[in-house]
Amino acid sequence: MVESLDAQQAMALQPVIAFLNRHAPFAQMAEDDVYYLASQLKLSFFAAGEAIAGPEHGPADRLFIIKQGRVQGESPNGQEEKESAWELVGGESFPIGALLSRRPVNTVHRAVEDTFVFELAQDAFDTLIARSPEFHDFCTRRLASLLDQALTQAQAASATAVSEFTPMNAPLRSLIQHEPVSCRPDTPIRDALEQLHKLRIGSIIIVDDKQHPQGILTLHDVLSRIALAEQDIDAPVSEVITRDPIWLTPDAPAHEAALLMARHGFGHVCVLDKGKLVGVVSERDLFSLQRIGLVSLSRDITRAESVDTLGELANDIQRLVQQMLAQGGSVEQILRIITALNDHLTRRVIELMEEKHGKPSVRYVWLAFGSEGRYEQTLVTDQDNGILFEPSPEMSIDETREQLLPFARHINEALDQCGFPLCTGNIMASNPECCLTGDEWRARFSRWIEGGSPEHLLKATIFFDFRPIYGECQPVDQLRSWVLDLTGSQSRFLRMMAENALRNRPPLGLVRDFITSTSDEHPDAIDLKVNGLTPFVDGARLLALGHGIDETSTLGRLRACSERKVLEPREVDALIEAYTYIQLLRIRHQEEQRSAGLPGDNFVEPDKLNELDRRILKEAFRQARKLQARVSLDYQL
Amino acid sequence: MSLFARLFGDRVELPPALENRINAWREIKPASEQVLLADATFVVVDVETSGLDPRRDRLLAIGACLLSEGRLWSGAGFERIIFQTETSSKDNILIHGIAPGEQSGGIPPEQALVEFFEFARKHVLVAYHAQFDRTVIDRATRAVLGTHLPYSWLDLADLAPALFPEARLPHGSLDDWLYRFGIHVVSRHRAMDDVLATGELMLILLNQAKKRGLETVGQLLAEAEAQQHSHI
Repeated sequence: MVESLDAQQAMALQPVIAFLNRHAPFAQMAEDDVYYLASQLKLSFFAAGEAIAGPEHGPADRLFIIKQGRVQGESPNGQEEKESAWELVGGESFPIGALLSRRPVNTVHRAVEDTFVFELAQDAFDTLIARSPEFHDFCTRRLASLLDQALTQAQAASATAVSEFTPMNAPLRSLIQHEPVSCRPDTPIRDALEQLHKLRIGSIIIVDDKQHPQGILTLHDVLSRIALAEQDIDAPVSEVITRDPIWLTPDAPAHEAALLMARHGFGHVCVLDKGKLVGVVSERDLFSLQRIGLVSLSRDITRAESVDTLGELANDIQRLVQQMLAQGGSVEQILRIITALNDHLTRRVIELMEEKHGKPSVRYVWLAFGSEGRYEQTLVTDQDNGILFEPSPEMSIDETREQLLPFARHINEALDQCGFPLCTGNIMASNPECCLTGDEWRARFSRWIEGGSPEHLLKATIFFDFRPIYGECQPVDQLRSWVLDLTGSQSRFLRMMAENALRNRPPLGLVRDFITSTSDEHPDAIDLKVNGLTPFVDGARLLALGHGIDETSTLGRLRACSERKVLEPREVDALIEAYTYIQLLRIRHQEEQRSAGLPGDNFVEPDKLNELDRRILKEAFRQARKLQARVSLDYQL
Repeated sequence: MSLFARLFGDRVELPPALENRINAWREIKPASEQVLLADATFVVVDVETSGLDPRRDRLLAIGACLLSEGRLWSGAGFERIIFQTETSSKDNILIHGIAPGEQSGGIPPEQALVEFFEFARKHVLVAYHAQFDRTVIDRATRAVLGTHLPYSWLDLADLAPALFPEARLPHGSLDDWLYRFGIHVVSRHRAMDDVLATGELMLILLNQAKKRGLETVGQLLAEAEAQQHSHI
């Protein structure tokens, strides 16, 4: 009888458990843990417009899981932000960050429509984190899924600023590439796969007699559901499809499809006209849009006839960045694109200066250092460049330099005109110390490696990320392998670099909250570049120099570490996610400043971030700390 | 056997343990009707029966859930399926979804009822078409426990149209109201699903009651009663 009673008690929880099992991360949790969670939940109701949680309610004391309805975040004072605020829907939870750090939420969470939320008290939330690794993971580590959400928010925020002309407002009907490919539920899997293969498409829709979609099978599913599952491919396709695919009408704008994709993690959206399938729009269809603008812009740059024109095109680069942010382009992609366009622009500036002032008689290479050398330029980047020239038989080295310096000065000034401010540290090709032959560069680098004073180390962090922009690559490649050979054998130098790198600690406090700057200029702010990115950049550079990796980009270096088994692939994935997130935050911040007509900087106030961003940022800093721990282990510091 | 049962009930011999539990229930002090709605505790109830006639059909299951301080304690729901010597007719299984196997795996009715009373204490019971649930529970109590345990009932079929006259659903069904408020129910007619659906409707009504200036349990009961009398 006792057994039967337990069974009956468990049955009473079934409706709640059934709800939880439909949503991540609860669906992934152990049965016992879901049972525990279900047994602790209470349901409450908020009518449309009522606040569920807000900063004035004091430290968060319960987790809310939306059962049904929609909840919007809005900043406590900002009426104007109401439009672009983020939104949570059924199955989503809040405010995890505030709960974890026992602080009030930063934003008012308001029910947009009549909403039912489950409540989980703080102590039960803590218990669940302690007993369920999946839930713990979800709350503290699942950067990837959080990043998806953050990107959705970035998109939502940027989307409002993007003009009517952007393709993201285009109706889906204009994006449909071809007639939809579909089959019936009883079609053998084999035939469906053959169709995918033959037509070179990514998805097939399973429809009923009325052409209404029943499900979707994508190439992505083939691996897990058919190949690895050893599925009999003569079975009907209905056994392996994703049911009830997401859909929109032909008039829905492209960004709505992008949001659906980001929210559901599906790469395909069906387009239905009066319930009938008329097409499929894939992620690739949406994001190919931005390449149009990209291709034409880079063409315009390479053809520009004056520095003034280039200056205008530099503005277009910024507009493109905004558009890509709105379209949810990946940060790495965006940074690479900015760098690629800036490279084009620099080359065109040099060509124009050669035309105007005459081409120098010696062979030279234009070098980029620092962030440009690492392919990591954002909207706010000053110049870091130099020249490597070949000695001429007719002139002394100093005479050649005298010829090159005024020419380099013209280039530096023209770049300044195009929006790349002159380097305050005078790391520019027009500085005689930065206009050297290969041998002179080697001599200069040797002095730093052997000397190892703080100033030498600082210079090494800027100059050792060099890369050719204009001219022949060969002498630059030689210089790089020389540097790698030398640093690989100079453990003393690397050790000092490591010491130097570890001085810059991620701004995490003992209680896992942020340490903000105490300076008068930027109180309560974190310098995302110095405190956020530099630990990754320095750590990756050290690993690269120590292991003979010739990549100069931070992400390229980290990936090479994974390939060469210097770091675990899983560690590298987490580092890359963390790094790209901080970059995203930085680009977003600079973009916001630019739209507001302010000069861009890297200072972000954590208190002004929404809780999701705060949580991810903290996790990202923890990843930086991990990388530093690895460095100090390697060099026994 | 209590005096009350001896005078008015059918003669039923109960084991002393059950008898004691019923007496303990009688000792519970009911909360005052002056309690504020925000602090009040209700018990949402739904019964499943072998048919639609509360005076003839058998009690198959009782579902209940606490609703306290404005929150439905869905994690602490109560559901008991009652052991049946004869399983109910096939067409009805389609409605309540309790399979014959489950019915014969239930617990004895006297145990289910006493446990229900212990769960519900003396809180106000809330149901949709409460008269049905009330009749079924009272009849079963008299039959198997030989007594009557009095409760205050709040009928949402009265309260909902009283608080939302603009809905123009004076004789609406639970489904009508669920539809109106967009409450999704995965599988209606399992006792627990119906309890939660009814509970969600009650949460909406409590929210509305506050907006209409109702403050105490007594005022809420009076509002429902007035509505009931308005269409007699």
